[in-house]
Amino acid sequence: MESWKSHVRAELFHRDCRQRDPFSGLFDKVSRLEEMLDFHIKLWQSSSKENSNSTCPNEGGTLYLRVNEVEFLNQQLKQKIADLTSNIYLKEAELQYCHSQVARYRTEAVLLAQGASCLKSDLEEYEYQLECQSKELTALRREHSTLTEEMATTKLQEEELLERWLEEKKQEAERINKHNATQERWQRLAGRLKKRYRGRSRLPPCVALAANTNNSSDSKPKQVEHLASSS
Amino acid sequence: MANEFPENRERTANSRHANITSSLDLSTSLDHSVQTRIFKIIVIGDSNVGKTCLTFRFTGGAFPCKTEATIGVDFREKAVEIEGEKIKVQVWDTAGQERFRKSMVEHYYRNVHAVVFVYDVTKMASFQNLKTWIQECNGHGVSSSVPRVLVGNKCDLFDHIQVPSNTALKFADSHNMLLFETSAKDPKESQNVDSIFMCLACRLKAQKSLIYRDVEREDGRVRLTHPPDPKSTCPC
Repeated sequence: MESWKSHVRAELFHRDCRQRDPFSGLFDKVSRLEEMLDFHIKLWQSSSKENSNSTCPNEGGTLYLRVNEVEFLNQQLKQKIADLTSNIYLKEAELQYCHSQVARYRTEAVLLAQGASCLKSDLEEYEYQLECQSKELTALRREHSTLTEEMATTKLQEEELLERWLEEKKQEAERINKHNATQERWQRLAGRLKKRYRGRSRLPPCVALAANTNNSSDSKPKQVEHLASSS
Repeated sequence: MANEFPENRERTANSRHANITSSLDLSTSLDHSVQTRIFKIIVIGDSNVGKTCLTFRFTGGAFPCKTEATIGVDFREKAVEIEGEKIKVQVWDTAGQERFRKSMVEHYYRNVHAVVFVYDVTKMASFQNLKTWIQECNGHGVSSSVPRVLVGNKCDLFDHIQVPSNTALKFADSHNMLLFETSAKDPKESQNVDSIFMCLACRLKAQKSLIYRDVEREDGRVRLTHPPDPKSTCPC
């Protein structure tokens, strides 16, 4: 192989290695050459039909081929330009959309920044409140413990008072029961005395007088004693 | 000696006069002392059935605006007159809560003359617990001759009545008790509340009269000192 060919080959290989898509340039070139070859074959066939008797291409034929080739390339370029133009419009639209998105995101970012600053200030406020509340909680806990102690003392006092009250009520009940019993005993005794007196008052006066003179002063206490002992 | 006779006569006359005077004094004082008798009536039942309100209605003639749990016992008295005799009805308003009564129960039942069992007509549990109260009463040696009445309170709460009258009546009959259904709150029922205690007082008075008669029999003289009054003023 000739040296310049091997050089070109090596350079091409290097280039293709450097490219992201290896050998894409070669494939493109090959496809373009194939395309051109197809075009030339078609042109050749059509021109050979028209000039069936001429066997070798002349100068006019080469020009014709050249013109047609240029026209074909021109067509391709036009198509490419149209494609690129539409692509540019599309890209412009995309760019506009991106700009609008950027504007939107910027607004959103501003809003978010404002929100963040608000939240930050809120956070600071809450931190301050939390600190205050924690202090308050500590104070309340201390107060609660004091109150609990006081309540326990009060409950104890209440229990003591209740016991005292019950004791007093008990004593009062006992006193009233005793009073009732004494009253009842006295009434029974008084009833008997009364009946005895009535019986005595119904006796004839001389008997009553004799009984009175005999018993004179100590008769009643004896009766009372007797009745009291019997009751 | 001659002078001794008139002196003796005078002394005898004086002593006779003194005896008659002292006898009159004794009779008057005895009459006075015998006049007022005390009937001890205890009111028992579950807590919050209205014992305090009932006793307050009877003794004070009104419904208390605010009441708190009775601690131990509250004593209330009302003087009534039955058949011309003045009687002091001593009502013992007992505590319903166990912790306020446990140390006092013995005092409640000592020399009790009558027992009032109270239940709340709007609380079936208070009616069902009556058995326990009766058991406690019997357990403290309260004689069967001691009159007992059953009182269903809070009858003014028509819509909440849980204890039917028939059930209560059957229960009262089975335990030989009178049944009263009343409301201490309702002023219209005031007379009904009074009649509970007056009825008991009348029964007690009748019982006591019989006891006195028995005492007279013991003396060997069967004689009725208090003949039955045809114009009886007993409210029963």
